[in-house]
This record gives sequence, structure tokens and C-alpha cells, in this order.
Amino acid sequence: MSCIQKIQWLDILRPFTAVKNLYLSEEVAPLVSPALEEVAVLPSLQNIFFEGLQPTGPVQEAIGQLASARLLSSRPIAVRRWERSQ
Amino acid sequence: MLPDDVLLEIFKFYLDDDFSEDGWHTLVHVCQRWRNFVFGSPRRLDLKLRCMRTRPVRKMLDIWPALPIVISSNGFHGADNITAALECNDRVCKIDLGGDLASLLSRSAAAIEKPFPALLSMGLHSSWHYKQVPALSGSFLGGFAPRLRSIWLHFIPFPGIRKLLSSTSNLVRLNLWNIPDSGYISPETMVTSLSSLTQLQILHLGFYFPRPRPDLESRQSPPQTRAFLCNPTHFTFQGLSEYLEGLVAHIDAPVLHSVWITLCYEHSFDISELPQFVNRSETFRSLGPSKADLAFVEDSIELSLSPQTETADIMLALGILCDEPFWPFLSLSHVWVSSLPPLATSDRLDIHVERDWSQDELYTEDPMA
Repeated sequence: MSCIQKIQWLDILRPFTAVKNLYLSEEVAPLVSPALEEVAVLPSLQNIFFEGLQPTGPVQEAIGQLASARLLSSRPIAVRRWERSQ
Repeated sequence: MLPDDVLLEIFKFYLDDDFSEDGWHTLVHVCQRWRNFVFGSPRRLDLKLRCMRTRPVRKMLDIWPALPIVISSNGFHGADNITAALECNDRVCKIDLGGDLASLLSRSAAAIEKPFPALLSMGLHSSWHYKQVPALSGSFLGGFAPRLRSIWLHFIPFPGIRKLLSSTSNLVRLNLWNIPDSGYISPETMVTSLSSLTQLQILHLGFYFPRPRPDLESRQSPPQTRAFLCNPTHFTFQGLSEYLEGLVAHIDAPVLHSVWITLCYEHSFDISELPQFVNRSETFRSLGPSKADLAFVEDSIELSLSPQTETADIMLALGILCDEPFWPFLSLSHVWVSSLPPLATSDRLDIHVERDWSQDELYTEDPMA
């Protein structure tokens, strides 16, 4: 994903300052996850729900990085699986 | 033998369950008693004569009692049958027509320009792949259909609609969708028309691409006061932001609880009236913590807000329509923040892809970069 796309995702997410729970579908998860490493974005975030979460793969890598970034900034998040029917 | 009141209830139950509006034909062919009984209770049984392109309407009109007429048909042939039904203008209670309307309306011009005092519901449905329907003038339906409760025009140009709407004070649903260029109605005219529709609950207004820009030279001066619409609960709009702003600036709709806006992509949006319009609704003013839903939907990107609790039907949505899927990202955030004030109260955000969006489209490079 290009740098510009990440910046645009940051722009999209910035207004949602109260969001605690973020649900990402399988298609958008790889695109949005890198933007979430910026802890200033979604400052109230507590849980991320991923659709089709697999034990390994590029999405898992991105999740690991954003979870670490959030943990280092004392804003830990929980990663969960999202079943769309929920 | 069953008593009359029991038989009547059975017939009513049977006919209520019959969506073809034709079930009485079966009953009257059973025996003379049933025939007399059915035609003796036309109001109680809500009998109607359904006229279609494929039916010999003139013959039907001769045979059957003078029941209210439903005209319902799609297709290309049989315009004479529809014309015959339209000529009974004082009996027509429902019009629901699709297909080749250009030819049909041209052949029925004389009949369709008379008043329709009994008409309750009118739907005309065309499409871009049919011959364009000529613009309907103020004389359509004689400009007089006082019992109309529902108007649904799809791809039908009706620039003269103001005259008809001035007679439809009982209108509950107004759906003008995919309005072609030749059917442009200025926001000022629309506001004036809406102000007389005191029963209106549902308003859908959408322009077909290319959506017309307001013609500055022919625009009337905006109303000095806002039209107060006490009943609308649902408002859907598709078009240019300039039109939307001109419309909502002059409308108060305090009981709205479903607003669905789809704007055509523009390089810059100047939106100031929409948030004030939304904020004049008690429902949205007190929305509280909401769920936000960001969806990539075929040719648009939509952000919608709804209550966290399962409150039926409350929805505030704004989408950007665009042929190039990546472009709207350039201004979406600005538009949303300026248009949907409750964004900051959302504590749940869903981001997902709907229908035909593919991964490839999401990865499309920004052409402006």
C-alpha cells in the first residue's frame, strides 16, 4: 500500500475520536491496519475485530505491528475475530 | 348454506391475500349467488378492475360493473388498451406503468391530460435504455389529482410537476428518482411545492447523470422563510451539493429520522446548510452514541450513522458517487466532518466492501497523485 493511501486512511479515520470498537472486513483489513499504527488515530480504540482472521499472513503481520505500536504508547488493544452475522 | 356475513368474511380474507387484485374474477364465476354477493359488496371487498396492455379493456369496461380501475402494465404493445382505461379518468385509482412510456404517453395524450379525481397512487417507470419520455407539462393529469397519496416517477421528466403538487395535499410519498436533464426542477420550485404537502412523510429526490446544475439565470429568488414540513420522516437525495444546499436551506423537517444523501463527486464541496438541516431534527440532535458504517458500494462510498441500540429506521448517511473509486477519498473526510456533526460520538466503526467492489479497485492508484 502506498504512502498516499495510508495518509488518506488517516484522514478518513481522524474524525472518529470516540471509536472504541473497530470492525474490518477481510478486503479492507490489509489497507487500514498500517494506518492504525499511528496512535493519534482512533485514540479511544480498545478492540479491533477482523473478518476472516487467519493464524498467519500479511494481515497478521500488520496486526502485530499495530498492536505493538499501541502497546508501546500505553494504549493496548485487543484483537478479535469478526463474524459478519454478529 | 353459509350465512351471508360469514361468506363475506371468507371472501374478504381470500381477496386480501390476493396481490393480483383480480381474485374476484374467480369468485364471480362460481355461481350466480356468489356473483351477486361479490358485486353487491364492492366497497367492502375493495373490488377493482385491473387493466393491462394485454387485456381487451374496452370489452372489459362493457362487461363488468363500474369498479375503480387499476392500470398496471409493462411492455411495448397494447397501448390502445391502456388508453381505453385512462379515458375513464374519474374511475382510475392506481396507475403503475413501465416499458415504452414515450410511445404510450404520446398516444394517450388526450386522456392523460384530464383530471384524475379518484387517483390514489401513480407510478411511471422508465429507464435509460428506453426512448426518452417527453417532458410532462403542467397539464399532465389535468394538474388535478386531489386524492393522490403516492407518486413514484423513475426516469420521467416532469418539469411542470408544481401544478399537480398544488392539488395533492394528501400526498404521503413523493419519489422522483433518476430525473433526466429535461425534467429539472429548481430547488426553489421544489421548496414551494413541498410546503403545501402537509401529509408528506417520504421524499426521495434524485437526478440522473449528468445531473443538472441549477440554472442561475432562471432561478427564482429563494423563499424568505423556511417551509415547515411537519410529517416527513424519510429524505433521500442524489445529486449535486449545490442543489442539496439550495433545497435544505429552506426546509424545516423536525421529525426526520432517516436521511440518505448521495452526492456526485466534485473536486470541492461547499456544505454548510446540510448539517443545520440535520440538526433541526430532534432525532438526530439527540442521537447519542452511534454506530458508524463505512461501505464501499459499487460506484460510491457511503458513511452511515445509526443508533447503537436497535432503534428501527434511524439512519443518517452520506455517500459520494463517483466513477473513479479512489477519488472520493480526497474529500470524503472534509465532507463528512462538515456534514455529519455526530461523527465524534460514534463508538463503533465498521469498514467493509459491498457488492461489486473488488480488491483491485481498492488498490487503484490515486490519479491525482
